[in-house]
Amino acid sequence: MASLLVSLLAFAAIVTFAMSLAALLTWMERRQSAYAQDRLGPTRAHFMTFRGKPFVLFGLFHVLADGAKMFFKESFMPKGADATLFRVAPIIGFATSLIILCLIPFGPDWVTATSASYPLQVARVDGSMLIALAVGSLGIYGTALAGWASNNRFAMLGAMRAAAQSVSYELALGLTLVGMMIATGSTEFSAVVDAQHGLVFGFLPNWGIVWQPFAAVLFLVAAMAETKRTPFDLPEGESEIIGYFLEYSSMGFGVFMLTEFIEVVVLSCLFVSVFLGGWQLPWFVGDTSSGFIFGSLFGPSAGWARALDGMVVFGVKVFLMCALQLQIRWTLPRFRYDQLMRLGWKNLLPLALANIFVTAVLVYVDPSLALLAIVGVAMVVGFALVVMAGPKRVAQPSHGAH
Amino acid sequence: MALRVRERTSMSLYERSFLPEVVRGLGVTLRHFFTNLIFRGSWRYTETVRYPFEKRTYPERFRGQHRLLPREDGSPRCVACYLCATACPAYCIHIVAGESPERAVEKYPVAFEIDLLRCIYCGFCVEACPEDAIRMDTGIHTPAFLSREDGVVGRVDLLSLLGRPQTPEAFGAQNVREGKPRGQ
Amino acid sequence: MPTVTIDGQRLEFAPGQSIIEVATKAGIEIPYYCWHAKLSVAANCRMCLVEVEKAPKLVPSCQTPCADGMVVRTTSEKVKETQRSVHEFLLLNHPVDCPICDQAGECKLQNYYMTVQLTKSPMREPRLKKHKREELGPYVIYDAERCIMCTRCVRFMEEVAKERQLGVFQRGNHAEIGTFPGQPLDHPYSLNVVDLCPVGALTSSVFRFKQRVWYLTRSPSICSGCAKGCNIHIDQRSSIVYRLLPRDNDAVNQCWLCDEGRLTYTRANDARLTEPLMREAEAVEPLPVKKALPAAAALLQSAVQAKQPVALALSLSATCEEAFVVGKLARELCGATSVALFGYAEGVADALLKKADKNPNRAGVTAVLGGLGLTVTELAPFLKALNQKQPAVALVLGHELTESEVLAKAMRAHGNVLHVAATRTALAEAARVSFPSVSFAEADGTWISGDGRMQRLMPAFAPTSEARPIHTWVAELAQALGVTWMLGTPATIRAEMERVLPAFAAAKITHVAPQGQPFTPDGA
Ligand code: SF4
Ligand code: FES
Repeated sequence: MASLLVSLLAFAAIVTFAMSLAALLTWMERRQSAYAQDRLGPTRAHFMTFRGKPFVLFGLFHVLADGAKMFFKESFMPKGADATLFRVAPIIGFATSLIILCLIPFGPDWVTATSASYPLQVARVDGSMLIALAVGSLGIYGTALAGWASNNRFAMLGAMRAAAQSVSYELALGLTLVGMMIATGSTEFSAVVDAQHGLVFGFLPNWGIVWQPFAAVLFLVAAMAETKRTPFDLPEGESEIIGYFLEYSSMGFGVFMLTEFIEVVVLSCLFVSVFLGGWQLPWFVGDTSSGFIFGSLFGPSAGWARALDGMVVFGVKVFLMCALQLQIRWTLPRFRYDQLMRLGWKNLLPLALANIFVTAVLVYVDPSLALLAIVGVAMVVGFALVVMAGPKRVAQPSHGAH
Repeated sequence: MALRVRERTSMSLYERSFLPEVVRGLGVTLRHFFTNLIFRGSWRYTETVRYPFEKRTYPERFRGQHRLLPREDGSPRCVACYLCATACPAYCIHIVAGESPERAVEKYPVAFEIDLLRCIYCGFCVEACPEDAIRMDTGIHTPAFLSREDGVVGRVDLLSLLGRPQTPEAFGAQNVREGKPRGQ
Repeated sequence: MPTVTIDGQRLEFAPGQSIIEVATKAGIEIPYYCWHAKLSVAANCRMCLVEVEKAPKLVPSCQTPCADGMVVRTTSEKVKETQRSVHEFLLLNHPVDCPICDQAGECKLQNYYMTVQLTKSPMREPRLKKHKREELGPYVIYDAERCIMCTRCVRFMEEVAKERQLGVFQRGNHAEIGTFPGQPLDHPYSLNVVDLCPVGALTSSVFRFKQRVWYLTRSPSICSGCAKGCNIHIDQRSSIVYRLLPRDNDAVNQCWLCDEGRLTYTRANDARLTEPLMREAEAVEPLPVKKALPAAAALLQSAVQAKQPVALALSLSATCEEAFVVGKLARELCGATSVALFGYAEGVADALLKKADKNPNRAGVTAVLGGLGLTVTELAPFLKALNQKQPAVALVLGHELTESEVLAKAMRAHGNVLHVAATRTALAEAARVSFPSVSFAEADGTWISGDGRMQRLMPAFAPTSEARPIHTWVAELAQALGVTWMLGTPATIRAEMERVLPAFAAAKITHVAPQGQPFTPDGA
C-alpha cells in the first residue's frame, strides 16, 4: 500500500518536474537564443510596474501568456480530416514521453528511519532501458498520425519525413546504449546508475561518459534526431513544409509543442542516468557523500536529506543537459535530407556497432573496467587536442562577392 | 553568361567528422550567450533599443513630419510654385494655387495638402522649395491614422506645427530667413 | 544664288533675308528675344548679336541682311561674351520671381540664362520697383518688373491686330508697356500678346496659376471655334484641357489664334456627360452602358421593324467620319432621305481669322451626307416633325447648338428621342436615352474648314469616362439591330469613305497631312 502511494507521489514529482521544466524551456528557448544572437528576447509581457518600470521578470510571463493564448485560440479541424485520429495524435507522443519518465530513477532510495526503503523511481522493472527504447519508438505514431489525419499534403510530407527519420535513428539510439549495458551488466536504469558510483583513477567521477565518451556523443546525436529539433527538424521544416502539425491550432498544437520540450527533458534524463551518473555527485551525493544542500545542513546520514540531495543533483544535471541541447539547436543549421540519411545509416550505425565491439573486447580483457576508462579518457583528450589544433579558419569569400 | 568551371573540393576528414566544428560553433554561441548574460553596457554585444520605452536621440537633421512656415502675418510663406510637388517622387503633394490682389505676393496656396500615407520622407520638397516655406524639422514621426483621409494633412495643420528648437543650427544659420517678406 | 557662310556652313539666301532667318532655317541657333518672323524688326534686345567678318562691331543678326560672301560667326568667344553681358543687362532689374510666374518652364530668360549666362547678377543696388499685376484688359495681365521691353506686343497690336492698344511709356530703366487712357487692351486677338511675350511679363488671366506648364502635355489639334479651322496645340494634364495655343500653319492661321477660339478649351472640360442617361417621365437617371444600349436599340428596332419613319439631326461639329456612319444609319436602317443639321448661330467675321460660321465642320458634314445621297435640311423641319410626333423615334447626334432650349422642348414633348452628346445640356435631360460622346480634344476625325481645307483632329488623350465617338454609338445601335458594319475605328471608316465617296477619295482622307490639305466637294 505504502509503496503504491510512494510510486504515485514519485510519479507526481517527476511529471511535475518534467512539465514545469518543459514550460521553462519554452522561455529558455527564446531567451537563450536571443542572448546567443545578441538580441534581448521576450521583454514585453508584464502586469505590474516595479520601480517605475514594467515588471517583466526576464520575460517569464510570456510562458503564462503563451499558455493562456493556446487555450483561448479557436481549435480548428480541417475539412476531410479524420476526426478521431486528429484528436488522438497529439496525445500519443505526449503519453509515450511520460511513460519513459516513469522508468528514470531521479534520486537514491529513500531509506526511512524505520529502515523501510522506497525507490525514487516510479517503476523499477527489469529491462527498463529496453522498455524505454520500445515505448520511445511508439511516439512516432503520434507524429505520423497527425500528419496523415490532417488531410494536408504538407502535413503528410512532414509526417513521412518524421517516420523515416525516427526509423533511421532509432537503431543507432539503441545500439549506443548497448556499450553501457555491457559495461554495467544490466539493462535496468537504477542498476546502471548505481554502477556509476565512486571515482575512477581517484579523481574522475566514475560516470558512463568516462567509459563510453564516444557512445555518449553518438547517443546525444541520435537522441536529438529523435526529438526532431534543429539541426534535425526536417519534419517541421517551417521554411518549406511547416510540418506535420500544420493543421493544428490551439491546444492541439500546444500539446505538440509541449511534447517537443518534454522530449528534450526525457532525453536529458536518459542521458544523465546512463552517462552522467544519474542523481550521484562524487564527494557530495552517493557512497562517498559528505552531503550536498540538505545533507550538509542536516547531516548526510539522514535518509530524507540524502534523497532530496539526490533529486537536486539530478534536477540540476537535467537542466544543464537541456540547456546544452538548446544551445546546440541555436548553433547549427538544419541538415539537408540526404545528409540526414547519410549521417544516420552510414555514420552513426557503423560507429555504434564498432563501439559495441570495442567495448565488449575491452570489458572482456579487463572486467574491472579500468582499461575501458583509460581508452575513454584518451579519446576525450585526443578529441580536445584535435579541436585545439584544428586548421585555422580561412576567410571564405561571401556569396556574391565576385 | 560565361561558363566557369568550379572545382568541387571534397571536405577533409576533419571537416567531415563534424564534431570539432560543432564544438567550435558552440564556442561561438556560448561566448555570445555568456557575454550578453553576464555583462551590461558596452561589453554586451546586444544593441537593442527597447522602443518605445527607450528612444534614440535623433540626429539634428532628422526628417520628421513637414510643416509650412508662416510669414509675420501668419499666412504661409508658400507661393504655390509647385516645385515641391514636382520634385516629390511619391506624388503626395497637392496644391491649388490662387491669386490674391491684397497680398504682397500675388500667388498663394488655396489648398496645400500632403498625403502622409504616400510620403516617403525623402526631403526632396524641402530641397526644392525656393522660399524656404516647407521644412521637415518638426521631429514628429508619421502619425498613425484610422482612415485614409486622416493621412492627408492640410495647409492649416501644416502651418500650426513648430520646428525643433535647435533648428537654425541644423539647417545652417545663414540659410534661415526669419519671417520677413522678400526684398525687405 | 548668293551665299553666306555662317559658322563655316555655306548657305544660300534670297536677297533681303536677315542673317537670323537664314541661320534658323539651317538649324543654327542664334538666341533672340525681340525678333519674330511675322513681325517687323525692332532690334532692341541685342541678344542676337553675331560677329561678321570685316564689320568693326558685332551686328544684330535679326536686322542685318545677308550679303553675298559674308562670313558670320555665332559661337566665337566674342559673341559668347557679348551674349553673357547682354543677358546680364536684361536681368539687371528682373525680380526673379519665377516661383510665382506662369512663364516659368517656357521662359526664354530662364532658358538663355542657363545656356549663355550662368553668372551671378552684378546688381548691387536695390532693384527697380515697377507695376506688378496690372490688368491691361479682360484677358491680359502685365508685370512691368519682368518686362524686357522687346516691344513684340506693341508691334503685334500695330501690325497684325491693326489697333494700337499698347505703347511704350517712360524712358530707359523706367520704360513700361501700357495702354492708353480709357482704352484697355480688349482687342479680340489680345491673348496673342501673351504667346508673343518671351518672358512672363504678359500672362493670361484665364490660364493664370491654373497649372505649371511643365505638367502639361501638348498635342496638335484643330480649333472648334469657327469654320476657319485654326491649327492649335492642346495643353492638357490628366485629361483636363488647360489652354489652347496656336500651332503654326501658314496656310490657315499663321501663328495666331483669336481669344474666342482660345476660350473654347472649356468645351473639353465643362459639364461633360460621363455615362448614359435615361429619362423615365421626369426623372433622369444615369444608367450603365450595358442597360442603356439595349433600351435604345429596342426603341429604334420597334420603329424600324414597324417601318415607321425615324428622323435624324446631326451637329455641324461632328467629324466627317461620324457624319458618314450617321448617314449610313439614316439610309440603310432608318430609311430616311434627309438629315437635319444644327449648329451654333452665325457670328461676326473679321479680316484676320474669324469666320461668321461658328461651326467647325459644316463643309465636311454636308459633303459627306450629300455624297451619301441624303438631303440636308435646317433644323426647323425636324422640329416641326418632332412636335407633330411624325417620326416614331428621332436621333439627335451632338449638342453643339445655340438655341438648344427649343429643341429640348420638342424632344421632351416627343418623348422618344435618342441623344449622343459630349456635354450634359438641356438636350441630354430631354432625351429618352443619352449617350456620352467625346469632345474635340478626345476626337480622332476629320474636319473640313470653311475654306475647303481638310484637317485631322488628333486625340489629345483617351476618354476617361464611358464617352465614345458618335460613330461608335451609332455602329453599336446598328449592331444591336442586327447589322454589322465593321467600322470600328476612324481609320476603317476613312477607308470606307474613300471607297464610297469620290470627293473624299480625291482629297485622300486616309492621308491627311499635319498641316491639312485642300478639299473640294466635287472632287476636282
Ligand atoms: S510685355 Fe513681353 S512682349 Fe511686351 S515688351 Fe515686355 S517682354 Fe516684350
Ligand atoms: S532679336 Fe535681334 S535685337 Fe532682338
